[in-house]
Amino acid sequence: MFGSEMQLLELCSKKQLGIREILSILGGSRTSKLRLIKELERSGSLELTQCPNGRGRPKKIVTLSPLGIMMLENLKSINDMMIKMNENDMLTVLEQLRLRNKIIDSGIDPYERFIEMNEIALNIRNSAESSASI
Amino acid sequence: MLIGGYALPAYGLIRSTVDIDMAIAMKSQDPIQLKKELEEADFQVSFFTEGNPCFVLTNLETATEIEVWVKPDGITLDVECLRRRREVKISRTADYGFWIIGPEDFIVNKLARRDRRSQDEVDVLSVLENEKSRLDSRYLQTIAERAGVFPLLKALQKKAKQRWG
Repeated sequence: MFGSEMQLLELCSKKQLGIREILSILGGSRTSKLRLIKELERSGSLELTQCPNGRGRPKKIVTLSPLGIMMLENLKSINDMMIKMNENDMLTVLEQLRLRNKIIDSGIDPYERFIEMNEIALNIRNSAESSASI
Repeated sequence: MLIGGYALPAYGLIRSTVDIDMAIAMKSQDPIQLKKELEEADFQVSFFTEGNPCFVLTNLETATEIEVWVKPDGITLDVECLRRRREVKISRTADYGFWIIGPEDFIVNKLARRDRRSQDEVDVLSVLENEKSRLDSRYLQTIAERAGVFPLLKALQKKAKQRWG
């Protein structure tokens, strides 16, 4: 919910960008993104200003208005309140709990298994870090 | 006591994590003395400033980092919270153990995280499901309301009920 609006407002809050740059960073459907930029400009959240662009046509720079800053803060608060996990995550929980019970039934302590898994994860991280530094 | 991913295997999922989070209850006169003692024990102490909810301890020998929380998100390190902590052993044969946060405080701490991710909700759901007959629901409601996460907790419980029955 409001994901595209937040993404666009957040992008414009970081630096001044032209419409083309925004479309290429955001990806996806250009038409829907252009519509969103226009909609947010109409609502007063974004401001479009023309900047000279050498010999070419003036470039339109998109900036966040004070209203846009407020809107972004509020959207972030709403986003914080919402549940973030999806249906797949819920399936994972059940599957992982089933595995946990299997481990316990076979006489293994959950912490013993946890320490083993962590050691493996740490070794993978350490070897990835050392190969990156070579 | 340990909080976060290192407390999780006692109540829910068994998953790997590289983040070690620890909560400590301190009296107001303790911080400076604590910092001194930690540095004397060869720990590097970073971000140790007044008002900071946590600081970072680095074991200089092993380069292990521990986030030490003085004010963990959403929970109060009061007598009740400490009374509900549990001692767990690293293995069935180990003769020493360590303290971990109680399951209700674990849930509220995860839900109240400022940068809550879907993984935190997955962890919470696993504890709610695995510990459902053992959780103190009245205490959980009280601390969740205090932390402002009760509506989120209810929504998660409702979702789980709809999905799993």
